[in-house]
Amino acid sequence: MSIIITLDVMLAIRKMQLNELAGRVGITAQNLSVLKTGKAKAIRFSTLEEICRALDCQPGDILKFEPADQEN
Amino acid sequence: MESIQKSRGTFKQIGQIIFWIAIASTILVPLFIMLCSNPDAFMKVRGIEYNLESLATGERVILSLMFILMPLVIAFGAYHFYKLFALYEKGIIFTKENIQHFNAIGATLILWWFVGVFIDLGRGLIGQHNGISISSFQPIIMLPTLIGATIIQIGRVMDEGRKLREEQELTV
Repeated sequence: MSIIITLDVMLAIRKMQLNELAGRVGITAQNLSVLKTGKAKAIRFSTLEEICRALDCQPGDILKFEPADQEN
Repeated sequence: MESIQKSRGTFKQIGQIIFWIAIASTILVPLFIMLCSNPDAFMKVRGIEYNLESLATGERVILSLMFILMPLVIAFGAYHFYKLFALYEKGIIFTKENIQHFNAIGATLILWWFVGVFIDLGRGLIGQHNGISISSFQPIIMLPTLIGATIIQIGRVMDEGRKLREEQELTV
């Protein structure tokens, strides 16, 4: 997938544990782990909103777009 | 809920019983045909009686195949039927395994039709060699094939459902 999740980077910058973020966002740590490891197929706007609120960041700080075929 | 669980268990058991009956008949009937040397032994295939003693070895092989194939197809279908309901009993519905069993049941019905055609042809061939005139083959009914194809299509729809469920599970 071309969308890269950089949640772990933001967590490291904010010095926050995954469990703590899960508690603040209101979802399970397992679900957040699915997102962090890039296994998630979709993210709800409400979840994204809560994550951005908890980490005090923009959606672009945790989501990156990298085209799959970079031949140049 | 309990009654549904119970009926699923009953379906599973029926599938298991059909499977073992089919397996037993697959082994026993052809063995009887191949080894029988009693002149009074007759075998009835779709309404026509054959004296086993008068049949040549090749004809016996064809007759055995005529008896082996149908129970084998039934055993195949019954096995997948049993496995499918075993999964349903556990509450497993939209999985790859379920869909494979579903497709196998559909394929069984299609195979059923092909085996029916083979039996009719074999019946005609053996009958001809033994001076039994068979004016026409029994009408070949395509209904099992159509039902089989429909079941395979339902399997495809279930596969789409499985993909949707997987996607929903991986939505955070």
